[in-house]
Amino acid sequence: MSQRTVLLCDLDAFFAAVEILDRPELAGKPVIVGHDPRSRGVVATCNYEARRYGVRSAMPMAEAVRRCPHAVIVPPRHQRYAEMSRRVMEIYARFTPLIEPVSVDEAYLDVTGRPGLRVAAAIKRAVLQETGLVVSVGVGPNKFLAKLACDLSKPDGLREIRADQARAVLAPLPVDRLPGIGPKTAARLRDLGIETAGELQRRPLQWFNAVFGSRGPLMYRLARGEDDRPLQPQSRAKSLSDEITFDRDRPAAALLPVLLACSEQVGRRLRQGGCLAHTVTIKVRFPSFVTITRSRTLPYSFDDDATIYRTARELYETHILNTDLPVDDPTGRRLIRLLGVQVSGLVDRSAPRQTTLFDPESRQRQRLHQVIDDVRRRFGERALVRGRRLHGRPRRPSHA
Amino acid sequence: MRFVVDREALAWGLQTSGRAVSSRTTLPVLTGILLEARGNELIITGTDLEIAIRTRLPASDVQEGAVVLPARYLSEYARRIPFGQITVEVDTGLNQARLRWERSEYVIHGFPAADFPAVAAGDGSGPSLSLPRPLLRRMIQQTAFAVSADETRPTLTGVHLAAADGLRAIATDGFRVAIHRAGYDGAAGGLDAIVPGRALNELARLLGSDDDGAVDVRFGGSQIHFDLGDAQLSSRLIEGQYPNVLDLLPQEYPTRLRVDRDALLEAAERASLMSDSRLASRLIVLELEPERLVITSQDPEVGQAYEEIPAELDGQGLRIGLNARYLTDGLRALEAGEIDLEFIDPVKAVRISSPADDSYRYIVFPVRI
Repeated sequence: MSQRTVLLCDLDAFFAAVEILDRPELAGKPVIVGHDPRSRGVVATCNYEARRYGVRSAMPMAEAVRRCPHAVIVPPRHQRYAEMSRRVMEIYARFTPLIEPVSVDEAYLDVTGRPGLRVAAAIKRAVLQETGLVVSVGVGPNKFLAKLACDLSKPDGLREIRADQARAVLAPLPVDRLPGIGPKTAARLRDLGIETAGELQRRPLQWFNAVFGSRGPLMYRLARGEDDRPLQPQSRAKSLSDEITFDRDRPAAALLPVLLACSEQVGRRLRQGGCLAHTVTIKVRFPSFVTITRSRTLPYSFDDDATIYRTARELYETHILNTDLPVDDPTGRRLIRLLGVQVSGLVDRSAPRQTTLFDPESRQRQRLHQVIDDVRRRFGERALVRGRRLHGRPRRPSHA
Repeated sequence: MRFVVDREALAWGLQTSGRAVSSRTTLPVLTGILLEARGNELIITGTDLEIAIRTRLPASDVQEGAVVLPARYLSEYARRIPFGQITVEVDTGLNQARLRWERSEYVIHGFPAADFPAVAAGDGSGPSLSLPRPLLRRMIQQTAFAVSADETRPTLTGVHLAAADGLRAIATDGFRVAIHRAGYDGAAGGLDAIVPGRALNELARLLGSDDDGAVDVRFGGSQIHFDLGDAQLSSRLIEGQYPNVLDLLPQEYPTRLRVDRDALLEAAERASLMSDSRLASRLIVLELEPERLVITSQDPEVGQAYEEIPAELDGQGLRIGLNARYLTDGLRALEAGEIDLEFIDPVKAVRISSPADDSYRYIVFPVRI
């Protein structure tokens, strides 16, 4: 592979930073995001002020409060973080389509062919100006070195590790800085008299094979700062689904309202996640436990309930209602135990997207969906129901 | 029932009508092809219940009758007979045909003709028109490729034919729209029908390259019938209201780019090789500049493309993403020579036409980048 330029962008103390953004009076105080210290929760994030007192992510809340009794405790608001995360990812997407999100606050970007440090600085500037958040950016010829550059320079970091600097930068670092070396392996290496990556670099490949087994060649190269793992831009959720198991088997012909309810549910989650889907799948389980799935991939991407339901209903009518499947009920009615809808082939809404002749219409639908989702969020699931579902609306007995 | 036919005519008839026979059918009789001996003709009909193709060929020594024989075996048989006449005798009680050629004799088991679905020949209740073959062929070539394959929107899987200042054909899958307007003086009043794209593609095959004569088109019930003389194609029409496509299209396109069709077609096809394979669309990016059009594409895993062709820009330059396939499909439907691409902005429709030909418009919707 020719020389790549990879960035690792990591938002500084992300959850805490969002809280401080929304409540400026918290600025300068130690802030811990996590649930009530009396519960058994752990620290989700804390800002650098809290870290000064020894508070760390994933530390039990009770311990965190002991170390920093005057810290402000804020319960996490994941929806808000997801929204800010999406805004930041959208900024990244302006710089490159090749993004591998690692988590809500971390993503690898491939900007090969461009000056990495300049792009990194531009991203930092754009994120700060447009969201008020600080992002640390590491630049490297691969994912490992980009991540390392970021870790070594944060908070508010900006650093590049070039391929020709890699060995020297790595040499003094403890071995557990290498991906794949956790506390256990580090302890084993310590027993072998090895504490730093530099000491690893002096060992031959055969030694690595003996110590690490099949991971030997990989570790040998990582110790030298070599890493050819590609970016995996689609490593987000691959599908979303909703399904219902009935408390008693139900006749197939009466289940379109359930199909609609499931379609609306996955539609809402699709929109919340800022995704578009390409494929709709229905899942049907009969009382005999025979389970079938049928799917259809559309030539365009969608996130609206109408498209999901229309496609699911068509699959249901074609493959369940109008076929010669065995009938379990002595009265001749086709019975169903479980019904579900799944969407897959997910892509980010900000990815290039084919526009269509019917877009104005779907834009209107999109606005309608936003309103419906909003009303339901505020006033509950039952606040707005499609007319179709009022007739013979099923109870949702057990949610599988 | 009995008849004698020329092997070449029979092979042609079976192959032509056989195109309407579906290999995937739940009704056994539909794997067969209907043979009717009548007067001094053999009439061969194949159908999958959506379309039907009927061919007529001269026959001699006819004793009238009808039978359904398995299409594949009969067609393969006729194809393997090198020359001469084939004599067919059918025991319509046993639905069994005896085929004799030279010193060979084959017996093929079939189905009763009464089991074969009736193929209506048009009850004359709708409009009828007579279209010159070249006009019909061009109309199909320029529109049928743009129909949708998405069966959840059945109306879009067909071409909409309507009387409007002559005859107008529209096809769209939502991503591009093909509009053909033909000057037609005959009475097409009241014509408003959606013809399945597949029926028109089959019709185009039947039309071949023969430019002489006209095709009679009749509407009746929920069917359309094309009569080409020795062959007829019937198709069910698609029910439903065709969307008001013209109202959804922009009227004003302030920017115009004039380019050579072949240069653009070739460049777009090459650039599409590098389009991002992770996307559903074959994305290429067009950049309009005063004296040139730049086309780029990139697949981060494969490489990058840069193409530049001379162009004449009238209006604002812009940068727009298109699905290469939708672009090249439309370019192929146009005659070679200078063509115009008209733009509004990077997210609105692009209109493609030929300054020398007012009868055709192709509108393609961009990829938002």
